[in-house]
Amino acid sequence: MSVIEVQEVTKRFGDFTAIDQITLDFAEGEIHAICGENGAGKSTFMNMLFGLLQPTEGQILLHGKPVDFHSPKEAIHSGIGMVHQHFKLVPSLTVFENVLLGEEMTQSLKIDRQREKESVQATIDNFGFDLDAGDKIEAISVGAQQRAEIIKMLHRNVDILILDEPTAVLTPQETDELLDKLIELKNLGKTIIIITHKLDEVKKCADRVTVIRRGKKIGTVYNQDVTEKDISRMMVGRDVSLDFDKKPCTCGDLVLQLNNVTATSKLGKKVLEGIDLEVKQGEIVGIAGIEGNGQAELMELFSGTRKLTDGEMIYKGKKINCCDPAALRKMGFGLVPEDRYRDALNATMSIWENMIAGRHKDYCKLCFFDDKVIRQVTKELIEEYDIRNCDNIDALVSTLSGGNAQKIIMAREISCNPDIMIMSQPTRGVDIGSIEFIHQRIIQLRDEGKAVIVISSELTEIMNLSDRIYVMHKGKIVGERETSQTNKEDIGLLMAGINHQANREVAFSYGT
Amino acid sequence: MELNKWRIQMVMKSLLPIFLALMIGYILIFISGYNANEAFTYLFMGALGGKKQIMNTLFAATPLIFTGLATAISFKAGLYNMGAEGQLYLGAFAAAYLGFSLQGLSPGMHITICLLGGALAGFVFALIPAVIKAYLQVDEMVSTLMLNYVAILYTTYLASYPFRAPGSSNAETINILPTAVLPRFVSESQLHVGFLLALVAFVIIYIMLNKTILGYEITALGKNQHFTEYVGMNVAKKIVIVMTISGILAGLGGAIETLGTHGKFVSGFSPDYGWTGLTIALIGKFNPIGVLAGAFLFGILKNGGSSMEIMVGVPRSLISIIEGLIVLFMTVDMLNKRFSLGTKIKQAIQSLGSSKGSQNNLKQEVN
Repeated sequence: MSVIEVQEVTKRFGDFTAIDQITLDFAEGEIHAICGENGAGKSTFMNMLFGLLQPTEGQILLHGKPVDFHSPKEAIHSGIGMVHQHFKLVPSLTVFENVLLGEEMTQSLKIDRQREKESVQATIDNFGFDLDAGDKIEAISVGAQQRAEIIKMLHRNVDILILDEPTAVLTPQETDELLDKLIELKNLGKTIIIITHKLDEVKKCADRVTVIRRGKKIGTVYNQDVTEKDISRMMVGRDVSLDFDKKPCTCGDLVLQLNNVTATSKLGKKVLEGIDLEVKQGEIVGIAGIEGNGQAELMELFSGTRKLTDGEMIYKGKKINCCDPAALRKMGFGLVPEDRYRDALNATMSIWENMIAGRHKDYCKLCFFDDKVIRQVTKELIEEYDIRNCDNIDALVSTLSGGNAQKIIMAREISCNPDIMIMSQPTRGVDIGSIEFIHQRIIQLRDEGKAVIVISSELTEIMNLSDRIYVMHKGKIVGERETSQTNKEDIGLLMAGINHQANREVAFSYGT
Repeated sequence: MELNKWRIQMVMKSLLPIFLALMIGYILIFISGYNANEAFTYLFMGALGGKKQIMNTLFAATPLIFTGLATAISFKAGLYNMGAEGQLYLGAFAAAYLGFSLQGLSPGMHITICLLGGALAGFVFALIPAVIKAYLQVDEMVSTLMLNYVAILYTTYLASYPFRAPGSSNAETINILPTAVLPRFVSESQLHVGFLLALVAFVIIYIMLNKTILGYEITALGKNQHFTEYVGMNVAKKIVIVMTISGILAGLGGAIETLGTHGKFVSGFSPDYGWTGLTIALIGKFNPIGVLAGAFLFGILKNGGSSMEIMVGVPRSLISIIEGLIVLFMTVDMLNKRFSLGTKIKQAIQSLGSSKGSQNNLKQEVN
């Protein structure tokens, strides 16, 4: 029996049709995965179910009755809860305070904290979550924060739970735990809708899968009837492969070297400690680690926006301890930062303005921009990098979806012809078709003899791309491996900070 | 197409506060017991009613174009140069000093030197907050604001003691030499060649902002400093360049007031040209065309205001009220942007209009 029926729903923003006549039903007690490329309309679709957006045409039936939500509050009231990709939690408050935010239990004018805590803890225990209602959000792990978000919804007695890219911020271990939990919740009778790009997760937990491409529903299939390949083909419209036949690495000269590098935060806390690292020509070095273990700080160090407090950074035999991004770029650094809309793009400027940023001085005669050349170069790059929805290069770059925005950055950085390319989370929030493209480009750079560093919390990405892997934990490098001589489990354990002793035992047990 | 729509919206957003302010001004005149229709007729006729009136309006707008552009360019780069008033005073004094002390120069030469002197004074004085902002991260809003007092009081001192005109009862210097005077177009209007210089400054700034690398970098800096730094533009250097261009413009504005209007440096000569320039920059959304339009508007209010006072007896301070109201309504627009006030009101009205659950919705919207 279906809990939600979506009938011929269309959503338009001006001339743009984000959702085109989608008809879909969600059955009670199923896990239903919604898959699609970036900008396919998944989030728009979910936001309509959750009352953040209203359909232009068509209707949504809940338990057979038409509903018309105008706010998330109404949706929650009717039993639909959503966990967003970016958590909506107050870090300085406790778990139970966050859960009950806006619905505090009061006794006369005072908040009854004891009763609040007990009631939230009861919900947590009831669903068997590993979480303490009294902990502060800022003190618990990302995985636990996500559990708090889910409890927030469950505490409001929702029967339908929508999760938007829930695993994007989790470690492989946390991801597995979450998926198991979702299956448990399903068995308790909850309906779960999960939006994701990650097909292995879909395979693990979903009952049915619906694929959306460019606002249209491509189809709904039973998970057991299809393979990952089938789903990705439905998403992209062609065969996709992320397993490349890489040529063996032919390393050249040493390009960048970090010797015993230490950096401290403003408060004097060590954020990076004793980092030793090197990368050679024609080599892809992966830096793995659970997010928040110093990778962001390391990237800042590479891009010259953070100064190291000890040790040295050597580029082509020259010490470059205190260079700013401008100087580094002049020396041949290509930089793709983690935060796309803060560092790499100017969201309120046009596509062409973003495309030429950094080397805009090459496109002018006597301080004046050469419009014709700029337009031509921009158009060529858009074509070469297969960037979609870019017909109007005067449009703001923020109108592009994540994958296309990332391709703009890649196009810009690669066309600068760098000697070393350093990328942080190069495919975060990027759809599978674009990931394939970006990965091919990265490998092509390596084959051209460039030095490449890829910082990623996506283990599969690290394993697929890197020739050599460093693993970070708590601001230190806890291990270095040749990719050919390691596996996901080994790296995963290092990421979790399991020490070398234990590690050796595990390696041994794999050996036998 | 979307861009055009956006532009129209921007223009509307600037015109609406002006319209509302004029409307309230009209009501205020009416309840003060004057003939509001007549007052407004004289306001606009006095400013635009004939060749002489229009020339006087342009004359009033001239210094405002300079201070408006000076503020707009720095705000556009996300730098809050509040020091236009002080830079204007120093530029004015420097031009006066060169104007009365250099002898035996040809007029063209003399005027050029005086203008360069005024620009240099503005440049040097803006360099102080620029450098400490760029390299020591000292908040430019505070430093420029405070330096205004330094500039205004220092020039007052200079005009009161070392350079005071002998026998004068006011704090002012002696007259500049005839070779340094900016000529008028016609004898019956005060409009002088300085207005053309203001237009030249406008054209240069317009082209610079829209067609050159520097303009691109200024826009990028104003919109996202992280991005600007990350893609390899030298942010500190840009800060110094933008702040000093701003200072040069304000200094030039002061020099032109000295050379064209007063013929000497008069302490306290500026009726808040710097601050009015700031208002104009805000109305013009930091766009040179908007600044030009804003300067004309304030020229109209200033010039028409006096004819309204003379003919109908409405006190000129009412014009200040209208100016204040314009700023107030601009602020409402900013509030709207920040807290999406308009959307909330719209939603509230919509939910009131819809029949079912209207009260419920309203409550949620307010929440």
